[in-house]
Amino acid sequence: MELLNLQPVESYKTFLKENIRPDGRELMETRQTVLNVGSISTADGSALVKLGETMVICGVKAELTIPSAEDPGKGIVVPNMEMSALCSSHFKPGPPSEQAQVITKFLDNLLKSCTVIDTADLCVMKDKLVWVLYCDLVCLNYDGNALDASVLALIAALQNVKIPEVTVDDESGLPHTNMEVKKAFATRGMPCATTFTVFDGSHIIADPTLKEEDITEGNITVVTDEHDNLIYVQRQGGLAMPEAEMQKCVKRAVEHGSEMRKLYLAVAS
Amino acid sequence: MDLNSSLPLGNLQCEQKVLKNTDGSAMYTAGETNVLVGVYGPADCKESKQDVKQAVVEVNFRPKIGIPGVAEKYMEKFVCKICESVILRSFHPRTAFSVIVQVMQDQGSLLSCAINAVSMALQDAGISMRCMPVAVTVALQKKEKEDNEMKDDSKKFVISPSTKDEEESVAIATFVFDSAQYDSISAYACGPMTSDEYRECLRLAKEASKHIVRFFRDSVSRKVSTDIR
Repeated sequence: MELLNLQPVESYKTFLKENIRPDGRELMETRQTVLNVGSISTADGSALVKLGETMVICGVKAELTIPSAEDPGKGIVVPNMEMSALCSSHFKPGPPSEQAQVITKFLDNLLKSCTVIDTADLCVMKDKLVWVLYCDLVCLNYDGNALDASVLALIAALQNVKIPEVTVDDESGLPHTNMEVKKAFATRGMPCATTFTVFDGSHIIADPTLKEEDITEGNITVVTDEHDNLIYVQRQGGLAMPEAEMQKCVKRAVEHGSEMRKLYLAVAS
Repeated sequence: MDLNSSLPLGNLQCEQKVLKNTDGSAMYTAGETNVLVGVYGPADCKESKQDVKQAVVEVNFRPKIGIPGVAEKYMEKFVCKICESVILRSFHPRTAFSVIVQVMQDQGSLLSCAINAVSMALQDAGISMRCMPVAVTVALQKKEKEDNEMKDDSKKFVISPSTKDEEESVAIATFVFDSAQYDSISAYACGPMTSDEYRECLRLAKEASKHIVRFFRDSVSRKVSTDIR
């Protein structure tokens, strides 16, 4: 155990010789995932994800706003990831860390490219009134791979959102909210992210823990949807990797995606 | 399935040693997208930010208008990771490399233009690198035509798409290769595509990157030949 802290790289190599990781997982095995929805009663939708020890919670609040001039018939979804000093000693108090900002942009790109929610569904009256969904994700405990956990939390929370029906009074032009009737709106695709890192330029491991993230380089994230399409592929870090290895990651991501989709279906009721 | 790929990369221009105070600089134009990059390094580094074993790389992305936001942070991280593995950092421990990217004009394929500009600026500064990163953006456009009762999907791969091409496309992918072995060292692909389409984008990008490496080589020889006079 002390060796793991004093000489992390060397001791990790001894584990890899047996094709196993310090927590007992195989190289391509992901940690146990727990998904809980609707835990925040004051939010319009919420989800809590526990990926091993990494915990991310997402709360969605819906508000009405005037649409932008460029897209008068479309609503807006605003994701925001927060990784404060609370979740790990890696982060210091102050403005959002780089990692949080990168995850925020990732989620923004994902929502735009995957059309999980058709923003036209969020329109109440074209040019006058649309819904804006503020999705706030907070990392409560960071033990590596906040990206996968946040994608899961965001999509599950969006699936969980129930907003009241809004009609616009023709005469006065004022919105009338019917708080009794609440309906969810269609979410499509059920995207699921799988992150891998590369150890020593040779071993690819899935779902790294915080200790593993510190000693590995190169991040590969693959997001798949329900049709096994690749929606988002992100390879950061300039390690040359043969195509065959990339295909292995894609294959594993597709398998992992179908496992996670069962979770989405289980909570969607 | 109609694969109509346009190979010409459009207008490529590069001018190095543009800035006086930096260790290296480059003004890179691809099509109508123009990026100016300045590089400092190896330079002194604050003790709190130092790494005992190797140099630290910091990238700053400045948009054409406005304050840098989350989108710029994302591109900074992407470019930073590439620089970290390409630059031989262990040659300069306890120092820092600073890369400042200023977007002059964005008419599509910004990420690949920026990476190529950074590559040329690092070369201009004479910083030891494993290879030069070369980036190419490929956009996938899908047109669904209904012919009688059959749906006929026609796909089009556009290399170095313009802003208009990007708006019409279903997916956009940027691949970064190393200039020596043409291995893929980094990738960013956003938008739904099948595994086969991804592989096709990769293949087309690899072909296009060879043209760009040739352009890099010509550009540097021009710079060196004008210096020797």
